[in-house]
Order: sequence, then structure tokens, then C-alpha cells
Amino acid sequence: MVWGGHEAAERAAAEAAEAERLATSVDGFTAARASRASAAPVLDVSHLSVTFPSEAGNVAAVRDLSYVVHAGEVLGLVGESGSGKSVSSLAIMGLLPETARVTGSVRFHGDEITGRTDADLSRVRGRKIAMIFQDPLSALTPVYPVGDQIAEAITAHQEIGRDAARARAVELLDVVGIPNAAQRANAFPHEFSGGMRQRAMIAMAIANDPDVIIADEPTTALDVTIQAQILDVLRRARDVTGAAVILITHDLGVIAGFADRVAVMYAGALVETASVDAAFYHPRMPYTIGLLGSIPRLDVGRDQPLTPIEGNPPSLVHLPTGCPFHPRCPMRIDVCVEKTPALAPVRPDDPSQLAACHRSGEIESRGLTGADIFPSPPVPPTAGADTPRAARPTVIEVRDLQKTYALTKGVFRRRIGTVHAVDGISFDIRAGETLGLVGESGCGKTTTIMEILELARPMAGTIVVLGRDTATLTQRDRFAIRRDLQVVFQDPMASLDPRLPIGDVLAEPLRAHGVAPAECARRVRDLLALVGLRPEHANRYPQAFSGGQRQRLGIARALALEPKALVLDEPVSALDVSIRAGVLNLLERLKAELGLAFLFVAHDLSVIRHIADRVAVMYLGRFSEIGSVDEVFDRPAHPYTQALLSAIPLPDPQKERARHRVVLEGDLPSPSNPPSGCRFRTRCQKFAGELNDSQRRLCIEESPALRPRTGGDDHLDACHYAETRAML
Amino acid sequence: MAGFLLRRLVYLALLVVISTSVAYLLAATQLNPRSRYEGRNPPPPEAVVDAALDAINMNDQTPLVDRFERWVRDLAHGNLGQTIDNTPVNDEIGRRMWVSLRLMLIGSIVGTLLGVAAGAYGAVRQHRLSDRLLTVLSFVTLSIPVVVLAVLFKNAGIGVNNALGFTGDTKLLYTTGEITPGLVPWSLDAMTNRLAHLVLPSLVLIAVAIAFYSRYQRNAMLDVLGSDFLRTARAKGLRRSQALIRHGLRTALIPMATFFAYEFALLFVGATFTEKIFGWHGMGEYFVDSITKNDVNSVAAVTLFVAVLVLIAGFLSDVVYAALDPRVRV
Amino acid sequence: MAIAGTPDTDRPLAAPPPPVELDAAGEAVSRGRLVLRRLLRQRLALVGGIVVLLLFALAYLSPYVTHWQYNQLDTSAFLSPPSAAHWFGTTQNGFDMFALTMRGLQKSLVIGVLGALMATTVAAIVGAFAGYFGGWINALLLGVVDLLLVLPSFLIIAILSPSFRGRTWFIFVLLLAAFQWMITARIVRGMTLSLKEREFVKAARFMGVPGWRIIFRHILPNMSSLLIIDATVNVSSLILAEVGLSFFGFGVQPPDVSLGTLIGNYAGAALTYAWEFYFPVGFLVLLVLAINLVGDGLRDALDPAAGMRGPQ
Repeated sequence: MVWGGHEAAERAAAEAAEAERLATSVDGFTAARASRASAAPVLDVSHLSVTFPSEAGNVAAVRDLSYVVHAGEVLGLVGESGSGKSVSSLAIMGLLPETARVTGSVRFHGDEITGRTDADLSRVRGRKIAMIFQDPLSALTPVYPVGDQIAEAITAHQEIGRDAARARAVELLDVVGIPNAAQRANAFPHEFSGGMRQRAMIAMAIANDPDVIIADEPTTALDVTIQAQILDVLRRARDVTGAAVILITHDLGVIAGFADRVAVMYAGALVETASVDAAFYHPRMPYTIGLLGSIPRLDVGRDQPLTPIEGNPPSLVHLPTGCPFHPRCPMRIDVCVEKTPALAPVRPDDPSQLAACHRSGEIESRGLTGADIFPSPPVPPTAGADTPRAARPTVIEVRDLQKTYALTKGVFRRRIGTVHAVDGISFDIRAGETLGLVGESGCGKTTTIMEILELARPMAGTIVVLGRDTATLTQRDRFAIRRDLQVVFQDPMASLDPRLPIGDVLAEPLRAHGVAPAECARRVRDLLALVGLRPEHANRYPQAFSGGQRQRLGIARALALEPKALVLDEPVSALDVSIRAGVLNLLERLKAELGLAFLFVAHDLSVIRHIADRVAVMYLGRFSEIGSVDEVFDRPAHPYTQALLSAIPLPDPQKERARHRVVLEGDLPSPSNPPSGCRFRTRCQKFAGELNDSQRRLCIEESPALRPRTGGDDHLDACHYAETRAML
Repeated sequence: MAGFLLRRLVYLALLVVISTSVAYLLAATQLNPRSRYEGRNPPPPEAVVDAALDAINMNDQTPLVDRFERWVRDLAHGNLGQTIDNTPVNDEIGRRMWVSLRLMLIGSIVGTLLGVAAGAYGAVRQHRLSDRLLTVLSFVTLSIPVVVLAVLFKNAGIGVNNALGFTGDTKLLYTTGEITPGLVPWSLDAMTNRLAHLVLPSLVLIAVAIAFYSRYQRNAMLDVLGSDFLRTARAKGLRRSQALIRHGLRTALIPMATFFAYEFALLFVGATFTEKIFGWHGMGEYFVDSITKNDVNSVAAVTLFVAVLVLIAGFLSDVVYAALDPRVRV
Repeated sequence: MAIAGTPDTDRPLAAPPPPVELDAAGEAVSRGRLVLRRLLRQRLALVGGIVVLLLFALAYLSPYVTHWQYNQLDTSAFLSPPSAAHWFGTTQNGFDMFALTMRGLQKSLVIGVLGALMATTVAAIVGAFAGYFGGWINALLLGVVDLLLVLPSFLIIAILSPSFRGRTWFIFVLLLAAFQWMITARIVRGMTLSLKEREFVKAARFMGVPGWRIIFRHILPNMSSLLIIDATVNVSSLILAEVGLSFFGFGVQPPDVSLGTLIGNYAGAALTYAWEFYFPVGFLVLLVLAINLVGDGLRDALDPAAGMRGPQ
């Protein structure tokens, strides 16, 4: 374990003490291991390679991977999709399909475990090495109660009766923070929320007090406030078991706050490994450097230049010669193409930092940073920034919008309630402006934009698009307005019809609006150029493009009719980090050049901070806060906004360690039965911790209206006891 | 909830009413009960024929509307009318449905269980020799029309009897009917005799059921094989085979719910081809005979019977589904 | 490739990033080729396909080669076993069994293919319209589906069989197809409901593309695999259904012959004059088996999930 500095040592000591407390307080766990930093590694992976046969040829999913983990240590395995991080862990567990060819060695406490029989390995799996998977819904068997599934993990390894195993399962559920554990143990996985399912997965993983816990993207499918909870539980799991943790994730923020050491994977191989501080503060491999420069940061505003890594990760079937990163590397020289660089120490004062780059010595000696290596595009000026907001025309205006759904259940579609998906929200978007709509899943943000895009009369309230009230539109009016209001969807895979060549995809809106074929062809060429693709790509099918390119195509199609406003539904959340920056830069440029208004929906506040002018925070169908981005992010007034900001991990280990974190209790209440008064009160940290009973009565009885309370007229919040508090 | 159920019930009743009426009207206009009396020597007097046809409400001289009205009125009293042989249709169905059940019960259960097991086994051993063999066998079976299969089994049975010297009245395997007449009911002789009658038709049903279920179960199982929860089950320490049976097969049974439900609700409807070839007087045979005998009322009754059972099967499939899958439980 | 449209800024260190080409330049065209490649790898399916083609050729070309036509009597040979003159023997009336079988094969093939095309087309259109438009269109179409599912098809076709006696067999095909499409229509409807929520369909809708055009341009093409497989499977189901009906005289009516009528007529002769029964049966089973193998191979080749599962 590599700790740097006095502060870290103190933290380690505090953690050990905490672990001891927990371990003694929790039955069934061995006492916290004193020998946390013992010399011999728990897990020693060396020269691990995995190959899959495929239609196109052999896929080299993992190549020559070596690392060690010690007891109590957290190793963060970072990489983009396809980098081999998950496959390598499944290889360790012996859970790859039979077609996979695994070579190399994995030693657990010195014993070789590759090549063992299934029966032999099954005694190690779950008992010595446990695994937590990404999607807890599909990872739990749908037909058995959660408690039984945990009990099964116990009976698989321990001579223990069914009832005793069940009782132990209930205890474990209690340990991971499931309220009413005895009763909830009888529930089926689909009756649990995402966060609770992941807690159950963790309970299953720690059931046999393992020595290694592999967590494969454990929080990727979860909302940020739930992610904060789960990371806490994971920390507790590490502490009570004293296990080594391998945390696989693409989220550098999570790594910064959780890992002791970092291993960066690219195209199946390890390209850099270092202590967490070294990896974030002086990375020595251009890929790591590029990755860090491409993420928008919550604590820096739009002035932060995002530096995309050009190109795409290589195909694992046809790997480039030499360094796998060389086709995308701005520092490429001839030797990079010819020879694969080996992992080697790069810093004289820290032998544990290894990088696989021919030029890492140069990076080290010249102290090169991201700004030196990757070209940073200029931040485009905000369009029409010189015209005051009030003087600009309104593009979209929403007043008191409401939308409810019937909630049905079972094969008989019995109606069991009404979901108030959107419950009285109001906002407007001016020309050339970006409004970010943020909130966790189920808050109603997608419903809101769908209501706008339908251009129909809403259930209640009014929607005015470009000066036309949607309630009064005829079929023909609606068709005409569609020219000016277009949409970009989240999933670039799903938003392009796989059966049509790109030329036809881009021409579809043009043809629908009666543009002549010759003109269509010309526009398609222009559009491709506009989003940075080549005109000859028009004949290709969507499958031939990478995720980032597809999202560019989605944007091109939305721009085909030269709209005035664009609705963007999570346009970058499905993209890999290094690709995301390029798309964000493109959107910014288009907005500036074309003077578009954006309604930008996202759950990632960092993205919103980077691209939006104003932001609205949504919770259970209502706005809890709205205002200019800098105002809301720097001086959040609503406890929910504060909690959200606090839950987002920063890709900065020291800041992460120093941060005070607000972890919200519980799950989102059911939108079919929201709490009375203020909808946030059931999870509100202020309500729970700061208010007295008479103050609370107001929260319970009266729903707070959205009002300017704490500052200028353009910063409104919906909290009876609003009070600004810096969270970053 | 109550409102929903009521609407659903009205809709289902409407389906039954329309389908039965359509069948009645088609049968009454297309079939020709009078042909039963044609070509007799000497030809019976017109009046006698009319009287006989009137008695069973099949006289084509009576306007269709009147016949339909009388049939509906009887039906409202729970009376399905008379067969062309002037016996009550109610009795006919009451007798035949149990014949069908006796024929099909054992074969269906055995065939379903074996088919599910074979399909699951094939999926786990995908692309191995045993899987290929099972696949080819079930494909060949499914490519033979059931009529032909029944004829083949019947002839094979006759061959076996002849080869083993059962050429007299007592056979090892009987190829016609469900019991030799004259045996004391429930005696050991009667039971073994019934069994000897049951073997061949059951084999037909079993062969078809295995072929059918093994295909579907294999596909359902393959869908489950790559799923995350199987990986979880193995990650917590279950061996592959344990995980496959406890978690895989159990989940792969869910998509089969519909088939199970329909199969067992339609046991009473019988197996037309098997019954016809092996001479069992069940509902399936009634299907064919009602048409060849121009038996209008029986056709309508059979349609009603089938329609009701199909709807019951639909309901049953919802129930089985809910029993197998906690996600859809009410 | 130069991805971002950003102007080239000063690069302090190195050559500009080289264009990263899509090495999958041919990937777009390759879906069709991929399916074909997978299909070719399915040896059984390939054999099935060849057998179907051969049977087609045999059924339609053999009348030009043989001496005997299906409606021609050889008064010198009654119930004669297979011989050089009568390859498959003769019937008690002196008809040539080979000519009869080939004639029957023609009819079975036509009935299967024509009926399957009709059934799948109806299923696709009904299912897609019910699913896409919902509301009363959905209620009405589903009502028709339910009604047809509740009606015993065997009985209804059998009742109507006298009405196409002596007339064209086309009515019979129409009736067979009329009772064959409902389950597929439900599946198509289900898939339409989920495709309707897919973003490319929503995108088209928000562009102002009318519903019927979305159905024919986006929805149906995206379930073409299902429809191709369904049509193939329908061919064999319809051939089998024809046999069942014709066996009892409710299907193809004399003087026309089909494999079903031949099997029905000569089932009683299986033990005595085996050639009368087993030749038509053999051809029928071969045909249906071959079609089923093609259907299964298509399913494996068209359904990407059924292929080899790669990493992640």
C-alpha cells in the first residue's frame, strides 16, 4: 500500500480503528487483520492473457497483464470499454466461456489457480475470492428471494443448516444497511431498488469473509447519491473482511476517492500503474494524461478546455504494431510503431510507478503535462453573450407542466396508483442559451422533454415553442414547428436505424419536409463535414461507425433542418470518457456558430457545469433549484443540490480525501406516493439533522414554492430553510 | 380491479358467442343433414324425413333464422341440442371428453417431462454429439405429420404382435379402442387390458411431445445460459452443473408456461389424428365425425367446447406464468 | 480521421495525430455477407436448402421426362410394385405412383409457399399497425386475432371444404393462411411496441415522418429476420396442415392430388402395398425436414444473440 504524507497515515490509522470497531461489532467476521500490509501479496497475477475466437478472427482481450494486490489494499483498475478490465477479472475467477483461451498465471496466497477444474475452483470462488457485478438486476436470479440467494452463498461453502444460513443472510443484509432485513430477505430482486440490489450483492460477496473482493463497475448503473451510499458500504465491506479489493471502473472520480493504487488498461494491456496520487498528479503515459484531460470537472467551470483523445480504441482483432496507443498518440515517433514498450519504472523517487511508453522518460524529465501533449481547442465564446438574457427572444417556455401515468401491476394490469412524473414545473429557454436539466433517474426529466417534443396539449400547464402554444396547434402547424425543434438521443446505437445507410438517415428529415433529392445530397455532404466526418461516409451503415462518430451523426441529423432549438437527452452519457470530450466540444462549437438554444438533459453534473448557461435541478417531478450554472454550483441553496454536488466524486485524490461528504439516506420515494409537503424531506440531511420539530412541521405540511431567496432574481430554490453552502 | 375483470369477462364471453355462432351458421349452411336419407332404397317419404330432421332442428326447409333461434334458446337452457343420431349432444361430450383425457394424460405428462429434460440437456451440451443427435431426432419427428406417425406406430404394433405370436384375439399391444369389451370394470384384467390399449397411442403422443418441448426448452435454456445471474451463482461457489439446474433450468421454465397451460387445458379436446387412427371415441374423433356425418349441432357444440377451453387455457397460462415468475405476480 | 472540427492548434511536441481509419471499411456491406457466411457454415441448413431446391426441380421437371402423367391410366399394370416402367409402382386403378407423387409434391410446395407468404404478410401488417397506432386500431385487430385463435381452424376449414370442392384450390390456400398468421401478428405487435420506443423511431416521429411510412421504412425492415424465419417455418406448418386436412378428405379435392390426399388414400395399404404409402410419405418428410433445417439455420444466422458469445 502506498501512502503519501502525514495526512494519509492519519487516515489509515483512523480507518483501521474504524474497521476494528466494525469487525468486533459484527458477528461472524474474524477480527480485523492486523497484518493488513503484510509483505506477501494475496493475489499475484502474472502474464495473464485471454483470447477469444470470433467471426473476424482471434480477439486479444487481455494481453500479458501482471499485477499484485495485498490484503486490505484497494487496486483501481481503470480503462474504457473493451480495455479488458472485466475480462481479466472473470479470467481470475475462471468464469469465462469455454471458448476463451487463458494463459499466464494467477496465484492466490501463492497457490496457482488457473487451469484448475470447475469443482476445484468452485471452492475458491465465493469463499476466498468474491465478485460484485455491475448490473445487480440481471446478476440476481429473478425467481428466488434475495435472502435465499445470499444463504446459498453460505451453504455452498459452510456446513451449516438452512435456517442458520437464512439467519446469517439476514444479519448480512443488516450489515450492508438494508432496513428491516428480516422482512426484506423474503423479497425478490425485482422488489428491491437498484441500490438495495447492489447492497445485497455486496452482502453475498462478504458472506464467507473472502480475502479478495473484485468489484466490477459496482456503481455504474446507479445514481450518484446511491453511488455514494454503495461506495460507503463497499468501504465497510473491505474493513470488516480485511480483504484486498480490486475495483474496476471507468470513473476516475470513484478511483480517486477509493483506490490506493491505480492500474490503467488500454486495448487489453496495462499501460501505467502507480499510487493513486502519482497517477492523478504526475501521470507519465500519454493515454493516462489524455484521459485525465478529457473529463469535465465539477469544480472548474466552462473555461476548462477539454482535450479529446482523437480517434478510437483499436480493434482487438487487428491490433496496431508496436504501442497499441500509437495511432492516437500526439507524441508518436517511429519507434512507437515498431516496438511495443514494456512497463518500466519512470520516476527515480518512486519505483512503484510503471509506465509503458517509449517517451515516458522525456515526459518525466521535461515535466510535460496534458496541456503540453494534447492540443486544447479554444473555448468558443458564448453566442450572443453581449445581449442581456432578458432581451433575447424566448425559444421554449413551459408553465406549470404536469404529466401523470397510471401505474399497473401483474398480469391483470391492475391499476395500483398514479405516477406524478412531472408535477408543475416552469422554465424558459432564450435564444442561444443552454439550460441543463439534471436529476437522478425517475425525477421526470425525460418525461419533461418528451412532453415538449410531442408538441401536443399537455395534461395541465402550457408549453410554448417558438411563440406557439402547443395546445392550439393543428397537425400542419405541428409539422412546421418540427423543423425548428429537433432532438439528439442518448444511445447513439439505438438512435440510427441500423438498416439504412447514413446518407438516407441524414436525408430522412429533409425528405419528410419536402426537400428536393439533389438538394438533400448536397446537405448530407455539408452535414457530415459540419460534424467532422467525411462525405464519402454517406454510403456506410451505422454499424461501421464508433460510438462517438454515431453520436456525431445523430447531431448531424438533428441539424439537418437548421432548427432553432435542440433537445439533447443525455447525449454523452453512453460514450467513453475519451470520446465524450470530442462530442462536447463539437456541441459547444455548433452552439456558438449556429446560435442554437439547447435543452440539455443529463444526470452528470460535471457535463452540465461544462456546457450549460443555466441549470435546473429536478427531484420527484419538481424543480428544487434553478439558476445560472455558476450561481447554483458555487452557491447551492437547496439541500438536495448540495447533496448531489457532494456525492459526485472529483478526479482529484487529495480533494476527495479532504472533502466533507453528505450521504443521503435511503432511496427515491415512489413517485406514485410522494411525501407530503416538501418532497425531499424524507431524505433531507437538513430536515434530519438540523431542524427542530416545529421547523420540520412546515416541511411536512407545506410544499415550498420556487422562489428567489438567497441572492439575485435568477437563482430560485424550493426550500423553506434554504441557505447557501459551498460544496466543492 | 373488479371493473377490469368484468370487462375482460364480457370480452371473453363475446369471443365465445361470436365464434360459436359463426361455427353454427357455417355448419347450418354448408353441411347437408338431409343427405343421410338420400339414396336409401326405398326412399323414405319426404314427410318422415322432415319430421326426423325437425326433431333434431336440422331441417333445411326451416328458415335458418328460426333454426338458429331454436338452437340459441336451447343453449340458453344449457342444452346443446341433439346429434344427427338423435341423442343429446351434452351426453356425447360428457362421455367423450373423459375418453380423451384417459388417452392423453399419461402420454402428455411423460412426453413433457422427457422433452423438458432433453431440451435442457441439449442446451448444456450445445454443439456436442448428444445435442446434435437430439436435434436431428426432434427435427425428423416434427417433420412427420402426426397422422403418418400414428399409422407408422400402429403398423409397428401389428408387426410386434405378429412377430411375438399374438395373432389371436389376445394381443400384446392393441391397436383399436381403449378396452376390449366384456371385462369386469376395475379388475386387474381390465386394467392391464386398458394399459395394452394405451401403449401405442401414448408412444405417438410422447414422441411428438418430446420433439416439441425439447426444441423450445433448448432455446429457452440457451437464452439463459449467458445470463449474468448464472455467472453470479458460479461466482458464489456453485459448480457449473449446480448453477445450471438450480438457477438456469428454473428460470428457463418461465417461457414454457404458455405451452404447459395450453397443453393441459386442451387434454379434454383430444388428439384428432391419434384418436381417429387408434379408434378411440374421444373429442378428437368427434371433430371429424361431426363433419362427415353432417351433424350441425355437434359442430357448433365442439366449437363452443374448444373456444371455452382455449380461453380457460389462456387464463391458466397467466396463472402458471405467475406461479413460475414472481415478477408478474399480482 | 480528423474527428473534431476544431482548428489545428499549436502542437508543441509531435506530428499531428495520424488519421485513425475505420479498419472495418467493409463492415457495412458485410452484414449480408456475414449472414451468408454463417448460413454456409450451418451444414445441415445448407443441405436442407439444396434438398428443397432439388425437390422443386424434380416436382416441376419430371413430368417432362417420364412416360406417365398423373391422370393417365396404365390398364396393363394394377397394383404393380416398383419397376423400370413404373418407378414407384402403380395403384389399384393403374395410376403411376411416381407421377402422382410428383404432382402431389407440386401441390404441397405451392400451397406451403403461397400460404406462408400470405400468412406472414398479413401478420406483419396487422401486428405492426396494431402495435404502432394502438387505440381502437389495436383493439379491433387484436379482437380479430383473438377470435381466429378461439375458432378451431381444422373444423372451420373442414366445414367449408365442400364449398371449394370442384373449384380452385386457391380458396383452400387462402383458408389455411387465414388461420396461420395470428400468433406471429402478436409477436410482431410486441416487437413493434418495443421498436416504437427505440430512439431511431422516435427521432423519425419527431422529424414529422408519418406513421405508415415509419412502419414500412423503419419498423418492418428491422424485424425482417423474424419475418423471414416465420415465413420459412410457415411453409412447413402449412404443408403439414394440408396433409392433416386432406387425410380426411377436407383438403385438396379430387381430381387434384396432393401429398396429403395420397397419404390419406393409401394409409390403409401401408402393410400390404407399401409403395403406395411410403413413397409419398418419404417425399413429404424429406421436404418438411429440409425446410425446417433451413428455418433453423436461418434463425442461427440471422439472430446475432444465437451466435458465438464474444467477450463483454
